[in-house]
Amino acid sequence: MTTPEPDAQSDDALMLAFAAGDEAAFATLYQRHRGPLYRYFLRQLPRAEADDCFQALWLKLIRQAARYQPSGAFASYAFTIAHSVLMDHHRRRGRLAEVALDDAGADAELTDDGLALEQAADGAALRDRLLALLQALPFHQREAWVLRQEAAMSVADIAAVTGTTVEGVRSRLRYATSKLKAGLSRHVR
Amino acid sequence: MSDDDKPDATGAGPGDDDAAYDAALGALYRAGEAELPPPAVDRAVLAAAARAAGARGSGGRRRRWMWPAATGLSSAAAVLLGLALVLESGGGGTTPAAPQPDRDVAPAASPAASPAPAASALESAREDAAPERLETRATWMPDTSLKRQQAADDGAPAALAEAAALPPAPPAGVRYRDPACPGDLAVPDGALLRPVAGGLEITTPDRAYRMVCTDGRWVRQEPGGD
Repeated sequence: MTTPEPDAQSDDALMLAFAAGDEAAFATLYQRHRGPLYRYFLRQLPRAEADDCFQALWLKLIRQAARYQPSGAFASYAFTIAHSVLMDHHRRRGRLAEVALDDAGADAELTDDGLALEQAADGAALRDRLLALLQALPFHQREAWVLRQEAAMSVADIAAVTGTTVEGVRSRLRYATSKLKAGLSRHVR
Repeated sequence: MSDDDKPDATGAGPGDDDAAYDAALGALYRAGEAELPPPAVDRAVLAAAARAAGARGSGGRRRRWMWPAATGLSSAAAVLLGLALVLESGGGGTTPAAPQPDRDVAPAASPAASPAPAASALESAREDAAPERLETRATWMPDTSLKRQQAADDGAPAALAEAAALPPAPPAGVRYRDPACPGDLAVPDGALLRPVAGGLEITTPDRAYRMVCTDGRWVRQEPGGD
């Protein structure tokens, strides 16, 4: 039984081509994944810090390209490194304890920020509200939910990326959805 | 234990309502304009990738180019090493020492820059590729010269035959080397040499003196000075 050759435009093929010195292959790969990876950081950090972490992530990917082993799951590989970069960032800033405790006031009631029902009818305002609620979620719940939305990852993949169990991820996603639902229900007719 | 690691407090699994609401939330989340990294960040990342790709590409080209060059230089170094060993074995086991200019003896030929034997073999091979320069670096064997001189003095056929089989006389500008002294000793052209205790007696048409290796250094002694 032979292993099928990767598609020339697959993530694996692009990464291997870049490792061999093909700059254009990297550009394609970067265009393909920069949005989800950037928003992964942006949902969890102030913009300036998100920019720094995003760059740190790609520099790591560039440095490690020569050692990349094709597995057909470049996105999981990249998000695993992104998770590591994010945790390192929190560690350097002394926020790791806060993250481990899953944020102070994790279960606090999500407060009404005065968004009027009329405004809620506007899709953009509703999305803003969603993002605000997302920011208020505990770290692990928010990370799991963002991975689910940005990378369309399965629960098992999220568990692998974040180094937790499948059950733990299911629970985080359930709590996150429940809180977002509760936070938005007041503003939706 | 944080709340998200605990089982669902209700004990119920995600129902259809949750799944539907989750999908609606996802749609709402993706409805707006997707945030992308600032152009400056894009440029920085792509520039880093270009540098890495360039290094890998040129590294590959450099490696391909270096193989024949390295092979050639290694071969040259091996030939030089073999030549040095042959000359040295004929010289009664003198070992090469780091050549240094000797200020005590007026050199007949200016000692050209003499690379240290410990220097990179590739560098030596590159510098010494010209055969005429190999001669100036050969280590001369004082006992060979002495035998040749003694044979000429004695006139004995056997000694002459033995001397004829010896390597040729050192070329002009050759330097005497003694393992006890790290520096080479420049020998004037046409000088007669005779080993003496601790050094060498050098006789030229207009003077005679001794060079003695003292404390790892060549010291000149005038006649009657010892």
